[in-house]
Amino acid sequence: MAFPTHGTSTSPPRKSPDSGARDLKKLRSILLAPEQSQIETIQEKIESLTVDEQTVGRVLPHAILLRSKQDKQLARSLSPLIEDGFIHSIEKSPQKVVDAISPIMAPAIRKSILRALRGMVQSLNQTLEHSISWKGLQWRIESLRTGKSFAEIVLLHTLRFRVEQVFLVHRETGLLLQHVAAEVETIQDEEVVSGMLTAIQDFVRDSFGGTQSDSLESFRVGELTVWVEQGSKAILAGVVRGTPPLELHEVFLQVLETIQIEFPDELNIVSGDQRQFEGTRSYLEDCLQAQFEGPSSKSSPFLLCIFILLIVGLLTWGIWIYLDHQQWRTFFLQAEKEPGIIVTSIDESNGTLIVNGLRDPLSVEPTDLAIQAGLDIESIQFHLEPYYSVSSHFLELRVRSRLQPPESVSLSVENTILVVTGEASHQWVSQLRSLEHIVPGVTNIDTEHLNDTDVAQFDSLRNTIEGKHFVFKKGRTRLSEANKGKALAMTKDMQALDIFAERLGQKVRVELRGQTSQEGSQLRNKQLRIARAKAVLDGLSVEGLKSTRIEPVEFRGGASDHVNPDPAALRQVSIKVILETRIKGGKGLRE
Amino acid sequence: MIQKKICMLGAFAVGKTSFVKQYVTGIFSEKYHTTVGVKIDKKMVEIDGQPITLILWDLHGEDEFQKIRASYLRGSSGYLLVVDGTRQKTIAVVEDLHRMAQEILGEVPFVLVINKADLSEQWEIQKDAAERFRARGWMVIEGSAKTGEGVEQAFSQLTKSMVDD
Ligand SMILES: Nc1nc2c(ncn2[C@@H]2O[C@H](COP(=O)(O)OP(=O)(O)OP(=O)(O)O)[C@@H](O)[C@H]2O)c(=O)[nH]1
Ligand SMILES: [Mg+2]
Repeated sequence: MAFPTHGTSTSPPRKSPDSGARDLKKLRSILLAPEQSQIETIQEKIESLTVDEQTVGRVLPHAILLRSKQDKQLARSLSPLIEDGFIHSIEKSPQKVVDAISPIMAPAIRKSILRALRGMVQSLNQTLEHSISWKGLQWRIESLRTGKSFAEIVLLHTLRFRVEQVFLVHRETGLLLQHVAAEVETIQDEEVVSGMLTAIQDFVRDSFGGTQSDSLESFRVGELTVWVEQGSKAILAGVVRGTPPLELHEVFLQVLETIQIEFPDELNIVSGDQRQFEGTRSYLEDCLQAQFEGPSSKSSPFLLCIFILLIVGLLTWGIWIYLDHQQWRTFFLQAEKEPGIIVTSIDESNGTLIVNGLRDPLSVEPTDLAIQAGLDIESIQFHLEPYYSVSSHFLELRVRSRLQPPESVSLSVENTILVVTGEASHQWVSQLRSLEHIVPGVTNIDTEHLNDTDVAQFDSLRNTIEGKHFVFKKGRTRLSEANKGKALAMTKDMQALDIFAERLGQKVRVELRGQTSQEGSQLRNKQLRIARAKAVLDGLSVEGLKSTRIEPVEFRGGASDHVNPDPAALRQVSIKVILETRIKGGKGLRE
Repeated sequence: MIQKKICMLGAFAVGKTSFVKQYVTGIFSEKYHTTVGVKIDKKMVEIDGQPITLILWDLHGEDEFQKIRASYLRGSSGYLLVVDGTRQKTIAVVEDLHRMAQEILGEVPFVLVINKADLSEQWEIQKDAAERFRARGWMVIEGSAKTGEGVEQAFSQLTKSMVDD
């Protein structure tokens, strides 16, 4: 560019208006060129400012920081957007949210479960530990007496200390900001307590002339100690049962400081709205600590022995009672089944059991029953009154014992009728008949099928004897040799007959009946009949008969008996056995 | 839950304790047990559907031996000034106490209770005393802790103006 210099011009140049404007422009460009270009750059920048994301990105974080320091307007206007965005994000991809928060949530949940479990295990341990000891027994009694649960009593006795309640109180107003309690009965009016705590603090400070930082640090109410930690804005008060360790102060102070740092605004202007302090709850819960006595010295072996002995004793006693009961049961069942024994009651007197009732003398011995059942008969007395049982079993037994029946006889009682069958001697049969009314309960005796063996023998002998004849030749009165033998044989039958007659109590007359044919004179025939009967009698050698009398008689009945008799058959001596007394009883001998 | 602290201020034996007791439990007793230090009670109320716990600080009566401690007053959202209608002197006491409260608390709502209205024929204070206080912009209620007259009203008016504040 060429610059006109004043020094080189000889004459002033003539100027047209066009050239003047051009010159001015030239001059301006010479003088203001750097500023011009700066203005152009600025203008460019201003025009592009609305769309420049890079610039916004640079200033935005700083702007947000600045504004949030000034007031809460930004947070307020952003919170609906953030909420919506959060909900949207959860709906869209919940897994991402889960992944993001689980590192925080999982330890928190674990911690809470762990705390609950630890508490449970601790109380279970203590309960078990103290269950089988002398102390445990005392506590059990205390639990019964006071109506508290055993676990609770154990807790109270083994407790070193437990923070039961924690109050966070606004220092200036005394208003309650937060309150947490362990699972125990808590005071109802936390707000009043909180107010009183500050009032007491003020009272003490004013009364004893302390400075603002001086304060009441703790006081005791019965088993409870109240610990008070003063902060500049807030007071933390813990109600502690038992004797807390000094380290607990540290915990309280730490919590109080944390709260004062984290909630400065809320503590400065207290609106009385507790919701503002919801966030302090978890801090206060850290103060709810407790400590119990460690396991005490092992429970004494002596007491354990006594305890075991007691258990064994109780068991033995129980088993003994059971067995005794079972034995008596067996005895009763047996006695019930046994005919002829009736137990009506059992009494006890001086350690002896008295069994009362009735007993048929023919029944089994009750002591035998007791022994069978395993009872100790030394301690039992039987007061059983005798009685007659009329059951067929006992009637039979009674009859048997009275009658002593021979083996050939069988007895049974059917509906009060004694049925006797078989065969027996005459003596036994007569005894049976005489007993008819002696055994109570038996109304009749059935002897239909009972045979009297003596009567049968007697009848048979009688028939044998009566069946014999001694035949004589015409006009003769002497016994032939054959007749002599016959007479000798008959002698034995006679003697037997006599024995049976005697047994039957029977007087017997045996007639030796001398007979003749019709031929010859009557006188001669009469002499012959007598002589023949005598001859037979002589032929017999019967002496010493007791119930039998033998009589030779003349007998004329034979003529009319036979229509046309053989005369030779009539020359004889026949024999007739005649009973002189009747045998007693229905069934006996023929006449 | 929102809590508000209210203080009861007045000379001794004007009926502060009786007033609170009547309000909280509905019971009145002729026996006089002077309050030592402070006694705190609470009462749950609802203002415009919002539950509020009133923490009532019943302070000992002011006399020449016992001055009210400033620390008790701190943090009050409002207070009741109580005078005994049968004793003229108790008015001067509440005037003092009111000044003290204003110094500590600033302008917070308060209500003046002229107590023992059931003994109005024995009143020493002038009949227009209430009017004169009202003229100063005070809320004034004539009432009786014995009959319960004005008790509910005094507290509800105070609570309302505390919430509106
Ligand atoms: N007739 C009547 N007696 C009242 C009334 N209020 C209080 N009293 C009686 O006045 C006496 C004092 O009542 P308090 O309620 O103890 O008075 P206070 O103001 O609490 O007294 P200090 O605690 O000593 O300051 C008691 O005997 C009450 O029975 C009332 O409205 N009518
Ligand atoms: Mg009082």
